[in-house]
Amino acid sequence: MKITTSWLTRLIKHDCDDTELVNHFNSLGLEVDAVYKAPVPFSGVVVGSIEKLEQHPEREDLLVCTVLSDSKRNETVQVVCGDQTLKLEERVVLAQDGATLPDGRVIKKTKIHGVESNGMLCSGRELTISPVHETVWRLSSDQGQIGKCPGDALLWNDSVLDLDLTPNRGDCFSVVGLARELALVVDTDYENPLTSDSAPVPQTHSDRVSIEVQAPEACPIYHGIVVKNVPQDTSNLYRLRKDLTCCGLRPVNYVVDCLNYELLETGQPTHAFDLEKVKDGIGVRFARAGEKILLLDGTDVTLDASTLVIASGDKPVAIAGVMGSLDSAVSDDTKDILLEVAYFTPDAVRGTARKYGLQSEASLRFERGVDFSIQPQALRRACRRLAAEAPSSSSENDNAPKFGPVVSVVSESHLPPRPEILLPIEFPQQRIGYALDADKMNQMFEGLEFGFRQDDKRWWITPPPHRYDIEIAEDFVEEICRIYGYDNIPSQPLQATVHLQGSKRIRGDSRELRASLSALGYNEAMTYSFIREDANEMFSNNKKIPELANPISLDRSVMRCSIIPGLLSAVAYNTARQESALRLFEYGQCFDYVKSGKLHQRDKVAGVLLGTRHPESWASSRESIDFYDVKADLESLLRYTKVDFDSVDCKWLQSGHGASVKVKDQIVGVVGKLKQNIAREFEIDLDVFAFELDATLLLRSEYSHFAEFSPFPSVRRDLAFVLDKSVTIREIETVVRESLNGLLWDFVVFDVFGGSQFADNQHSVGIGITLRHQSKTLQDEEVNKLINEVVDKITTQFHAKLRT
Amino acid sequence: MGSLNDTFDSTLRSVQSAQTEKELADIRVQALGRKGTITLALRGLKDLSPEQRPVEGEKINRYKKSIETALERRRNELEAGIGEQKAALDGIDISLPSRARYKGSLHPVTQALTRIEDIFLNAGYDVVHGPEIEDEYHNFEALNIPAGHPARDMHDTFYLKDGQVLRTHTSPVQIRTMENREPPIHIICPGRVYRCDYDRTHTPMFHQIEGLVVDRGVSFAHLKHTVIEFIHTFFEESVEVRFRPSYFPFTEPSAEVDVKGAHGWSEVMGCGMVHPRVLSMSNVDPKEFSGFAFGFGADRLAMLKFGIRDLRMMFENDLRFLNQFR
Repeated sequence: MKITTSWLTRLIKHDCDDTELVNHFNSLGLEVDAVYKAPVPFSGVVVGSIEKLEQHPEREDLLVCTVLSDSKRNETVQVVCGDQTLKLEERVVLAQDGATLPDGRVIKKTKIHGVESNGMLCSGRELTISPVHETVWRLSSDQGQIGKCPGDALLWNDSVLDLDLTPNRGDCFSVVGLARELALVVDTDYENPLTSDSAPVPQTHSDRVSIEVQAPEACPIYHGIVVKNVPQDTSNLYRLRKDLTCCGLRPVNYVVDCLNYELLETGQPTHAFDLEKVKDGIGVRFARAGEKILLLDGTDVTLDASTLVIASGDKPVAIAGVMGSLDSAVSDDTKDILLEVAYFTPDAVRGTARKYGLQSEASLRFERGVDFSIQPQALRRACRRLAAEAPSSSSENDNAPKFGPVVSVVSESHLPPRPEILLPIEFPQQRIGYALDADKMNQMFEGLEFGFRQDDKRWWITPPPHRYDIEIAEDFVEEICRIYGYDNIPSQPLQATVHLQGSKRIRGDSRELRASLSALGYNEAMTYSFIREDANEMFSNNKKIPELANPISLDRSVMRCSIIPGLLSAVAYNTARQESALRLFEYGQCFDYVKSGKLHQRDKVAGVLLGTRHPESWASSRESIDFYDVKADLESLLRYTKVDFDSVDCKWLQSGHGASVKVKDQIVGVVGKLKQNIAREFEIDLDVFAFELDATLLLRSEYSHFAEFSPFPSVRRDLAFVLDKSVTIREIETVVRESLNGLLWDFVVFDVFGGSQFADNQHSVGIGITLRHQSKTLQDEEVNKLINEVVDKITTQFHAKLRT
Repeated sequence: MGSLNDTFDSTLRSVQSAQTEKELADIRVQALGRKGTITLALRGLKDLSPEQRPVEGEKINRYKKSIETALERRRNELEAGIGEQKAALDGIDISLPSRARYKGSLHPVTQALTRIEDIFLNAGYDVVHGPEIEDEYHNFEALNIPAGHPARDMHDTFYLKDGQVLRTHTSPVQIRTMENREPPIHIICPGRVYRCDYDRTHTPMFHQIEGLVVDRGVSFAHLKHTVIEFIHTFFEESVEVRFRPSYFPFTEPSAEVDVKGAHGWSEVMGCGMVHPRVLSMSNVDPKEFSGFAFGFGADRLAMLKFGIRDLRMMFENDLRFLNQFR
């Protein structure tokens, strides 16, 4: 809602600068988004002074004027002008070469009957500040500064407040509403034009249009009045149009502008129909499904049965409280109108504008709630406005608008109820935590125009018809707080009972996982939870996916089943910026339908890696990372528990290069090398390794339990075998473990290599075995015997050869 | 015998200042040699009375021992000095770069969230999480935003095709907590939230933290104190804070909180006293209990704290950005 400060101060006589106004409104909860100088509707226009006047050499009715346009540099402009009344040293408004006037006209240098004219002296009408066109507009010598824009000296010495009103404060969508609020904090009464003007409209004819309201629950009040002979000449509307323009409304024609002005001032929307189009009478009813209406903004709408319409004959002529039809609208030469001043309930209008993609000043107010006590006064004000803005020459004669009788249909029982609300006297203090004087609160209620009575224990308060947000005792607490000023209420420390509790998660919560991964050299990323639809196909076997109905773009249209696609996009973003080594991880929710059809939302942690194992340095080779780097990272990450890796078939991992990650015999995720075609889908040409784990399965809730360890010395033996590459280390370790029967303390692979000295499918594996006995020192003979058994088993079982 | 004392002191001093093995050998001869001062003094003991003899004897022996220890220590020092000089000749270049490892980082939003969580955890609040895909009941209805309510327009909601919504705030977690727990409740609910909006200060996904306190006798003054204290703690300075009345369907009274920075006031938080309808819908008796709630964007606080100007950078994951938050 935009409002000019001059309009506001017309209703509330209080001297306030803009900053003060902004502070007042903000502290009342009416947030001021912006405050700026009233925009001037022309450019290139300056104050000038007549230096020299000469007769035009060819035309007697023209003057050649030399106009001082810059007093400092003594610059002048020659202009040919038809106003013979001009005198030397008079101050005028000069539109310079290139100037744009309010009507959009651009002034250009020209020759008028052979004499150069490098601009134009503007009339009041050209400046939209008076109807007068015959003479050039004069400024007095103290108005404006030569060479400067005359805006401040004319109508535009004003500023505009742009308020961002919350949806509960429909009552503030008017100058009256804002003045009422301001009066609460500046200790000045405001003038309400609705109540100060109670004289009836003089009736000068008896034509009427019949009104039938079939849906009184949606339209409890409908007043109609036939106004004949409405003026069309808008030349007197300059002040009003300046205010309308500043408030963001476009001037249209005489009737619409007058009604819009009243709408902004009082908050009551009205509508004018071309009388010719509604002669058959007015019906207020719900639309028949499929009925069509062409609205005045040009949109063609097919109505549904929940839409309230104004109909005439069989045809809808308006969507009630939203917009009229094009056909029945008032045009520039309409003479007779039917003026509608109605009250539509918020329920009847709410959602209608949005449903049809329409938004109007009327719907904005009706859906938030209009004061249902002001329609008769608003009708009088609108009529008076229609008469008052007519050009003065016509107001006394037959050209003045003529008013018929008011036809009213009112169903009081359908008006919004305003029951008394009980407010215990101690309640505000309890909720605010601060005691306010009861007299002070009474004053606030009066200022808010609440009806109330009280005894020494409670108030009974009736909210006024312009407030739709006062229903319970808490609502009064807010009113009291905001008028008193939120910042004036002292704060107070909260007291609570202390409860001791330990953490249920001992290890592996998001904090630990994040800290570990960042310590392992990963950068934490945060990617959008919505991803492209085909990415989900690459990473999930699930056909059913959580799909957005209104995605922000097509590549963010489904909720992620995996974090990897997001991380891959982040990788691509960085490789496109010359980064060739990346380790990114992310922790966050993923979404997947499980077999039962239920949507699972679980925290996952995922990482992607590519590039060299170490940053470039003199000390490290430029070797690329491989599976065993990621495996090491996961072992470090999950160091608080035992982890097993098994080969796995995974949709997005290269076969033979992917593993499942098992914690306590439960698969918690996968790790491996990303399929090349998927990397390419994300425009990555390098080898990418990735892991993704279900974070909820990584939590550990118990502490480690101490196990007694052997105090006796250990013995190590190293063995090297030549064997088939297909024999896994896990198989060898199992044989060693089983044959050593509890004595195995540590098992390491110190060496794996192939080469020309071996057959193609064979390689050498070196293992280190450390033995330790729980209750004695192992003797050499004993160890040798055990190791020989191990060698025997490995050589026979795997057709291996011991290297010596 | 006063002179022996002086001789002893000067001997120790010359040991300390000796620079060569030769000097030390000379000192040894002067003090402990056959005609050395200590040797002569020991020899002179026999001329003393039987009472004085043991007293003086013990003192001279102590001197002797001290000089021997000092000579030994100084010799070690001189030897080590020679070794150090040799080592310095083949020392390493400290400025040669290390065997570098990749240095990871934590996302600035994580760092802000952690800081915020800690502030409340330390005061006894619980951290509670909830689902990001919500039903309309928990995201709207239970928060006093029925269908058709104009406040739904303020939310720019993402809908799923099955009619569920991406939560527009973390308030549904408060509802779920009240449904399952008896007051007193002191919780904060951090997490991702979603709104259809994209510009310099809006991304369709961002992080919110909401707080909820429900107990007997909780008042607006308590809310003010909590919010102000939090802001001062988070920013580590007494920034100016202002409360403005506002409107949220789930609180009454409602407030917006601004913080004064170098460029004037900026909005950081919404808060208010929990609407009694919200309490009773979640099975909390509003006659017995009252509460307050507050909510703010963690990304926004992170931006203020770390001086980040464009919210969108938070989710671009540019390494040049991430590496600044180690």
